[in-house]
Amino acid sequence: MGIDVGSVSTDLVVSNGNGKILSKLYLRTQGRPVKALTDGLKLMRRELGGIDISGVGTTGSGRQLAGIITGADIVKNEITAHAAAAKRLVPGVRTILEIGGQDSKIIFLKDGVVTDFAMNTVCAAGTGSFLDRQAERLGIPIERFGEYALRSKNPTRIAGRCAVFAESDMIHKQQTGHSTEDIVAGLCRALVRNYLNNLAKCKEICEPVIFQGGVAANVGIAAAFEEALGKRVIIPQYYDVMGAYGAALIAEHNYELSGKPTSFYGFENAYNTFETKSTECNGCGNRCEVMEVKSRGRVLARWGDRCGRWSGKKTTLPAKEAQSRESLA
Amino acid sequence: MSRLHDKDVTVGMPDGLMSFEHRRVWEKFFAALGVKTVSSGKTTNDIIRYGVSLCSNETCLPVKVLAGHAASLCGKADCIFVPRCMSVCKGEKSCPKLCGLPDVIRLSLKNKVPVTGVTVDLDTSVKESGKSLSALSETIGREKRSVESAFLRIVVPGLAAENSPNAFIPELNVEKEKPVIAVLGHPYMIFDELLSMELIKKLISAGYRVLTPYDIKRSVRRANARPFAGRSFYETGLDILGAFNVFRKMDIVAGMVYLTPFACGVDSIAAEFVERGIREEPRKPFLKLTVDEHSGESGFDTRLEAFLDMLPAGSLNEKRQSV
Repeated sequence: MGIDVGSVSTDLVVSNGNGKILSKLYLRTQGRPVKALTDGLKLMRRELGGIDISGVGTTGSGRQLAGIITGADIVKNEITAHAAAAKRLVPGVRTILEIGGQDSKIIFLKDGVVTDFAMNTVCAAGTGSFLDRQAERLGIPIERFGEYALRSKNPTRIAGRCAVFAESDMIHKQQTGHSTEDIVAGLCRALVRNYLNNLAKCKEICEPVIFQGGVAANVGIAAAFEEALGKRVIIPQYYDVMGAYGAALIAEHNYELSGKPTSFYGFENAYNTFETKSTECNGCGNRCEVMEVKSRGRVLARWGDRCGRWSGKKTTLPAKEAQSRESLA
Repeated sequence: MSRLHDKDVTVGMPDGLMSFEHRRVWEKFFAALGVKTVSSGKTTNDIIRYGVSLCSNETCLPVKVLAGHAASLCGKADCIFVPRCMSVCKGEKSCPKLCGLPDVIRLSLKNKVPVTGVTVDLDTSVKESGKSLSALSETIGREKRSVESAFLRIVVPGLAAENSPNAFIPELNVEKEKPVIAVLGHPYMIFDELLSMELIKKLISAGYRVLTPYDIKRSVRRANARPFAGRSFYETGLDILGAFNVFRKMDIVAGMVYLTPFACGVDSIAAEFVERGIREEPRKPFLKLTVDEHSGESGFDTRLEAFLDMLPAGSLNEKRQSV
């Protein structure tokens, strides 16, 4: 099983030993990762019944928390997870374009090995949450955003450097009477321009190129990518749960390597209550924000302190990640 | 040592910006004059927070942090020492922000404690320091002649010393069995545990050895600082570019990480040349990490972990493939 706890969505995937997806879930995180995760586990149990889980991998910005709550065998960063999934679905893939809710990344591979990557740094201009907001502004359901873009005959030019500029530019275009279709298509192009300028800066984009992440559902963006790159852009079958799928593949690989039984606490564990709490430590001038996860009065884990006073940590990388850094075969 | 007045002055040394190399030189200078100094110590979150609240939003994070360090010395020192470091030798310039630093700090501290300093502009002439050395001699109560002599004897050669006083490993070929990650960046970024989010510690605990520009002799860094070798450029830019060109050709270097504070002017040029150079053979895995005021480390760690995953498989187990 792979779990991807992202800022916008929490995804769960259960795959069999051959990498085939038996069941997948895409839930909105809505700022409450623990709830989204336990809801997901309950739904998954209802769907698959008494299935035997041989390994669990977590990824995404909430991977550490998810790892603690589920007792995951392996915790992996989302770049490695996305690359693992893409390699499985499109063997020989050279470039991965990924746009999620709050971040976007580009990953370059050669001979099945990641050679370079970039993630957006300070700005979320080209991401799903920005598109959500603009769709809402224009009164279009986000699911139909792409169709609108494809219907446009004459896309208008929208400033792409910054989400704030893009929004004011859009409003001006609306006021001067451009059609919604043309504005939406212009926005897709601006977003793609922004993405390529920020992440692909002078880097060579080789085929096959694949486009994944929640925003890959938007056919308008996919078309804008094809136009800007002059290359075919493949949208893989499981584009929306690639992180979770990758985490599942990594867990599977980890199981094959170690042969150890899983440390997964089981689906029933999702019915327990989990509390998370943050406190400011006053031990020194650093005033670290210490996070704590508790279940039934017992502290499961603490982290966030620099000195190790609360977490008792020895290494600074999460132990599980330090242990298993073998690349995926 | 002849004194001008009997008052014992304690000089506060804020431990930020060029303190990694320069502060140690200045401490020697004050020690030679028999003047007590007090350091602000390691950067803490309190220092960052305070510095951020004192400075204009436009300044870079390291300047804000220095202001926080200076402020933390109020009450512990009679004056705060912030040199106006414009150039440390011929043909090299300091970041323009270092040139205006004493003024920025003076304004940030709102005269709570006097800010004193020495102007250093060795690219123009050593004479540029004369007036400020006179003023310093008054403040610390030492004869002008001895202050000038200590400056010429200790500071002038010290600021452009061949060996960094803080090199990790003086010889590059020790501990051969461990693959190396080269960490590029300004000393006040990469060696500050808080600003660098413990980058070096994290790499070491992941099983790597770390080399920085300061493990290479200064003359070697200068000779390799393409495309600025032999030309006038920023001091830290020359350090970074020179080290990059040396590390790039070293087999033992498995990858490189460039740590930069958001909106750094010198890095905007140096990093561009590094990013172009990294695309030439022999190619090495490369990661540029930009940090600013955010205290959340997860984005930083995600990138670092993905970068380590990218390194040749087994690079941790001696059986490292040739890169």
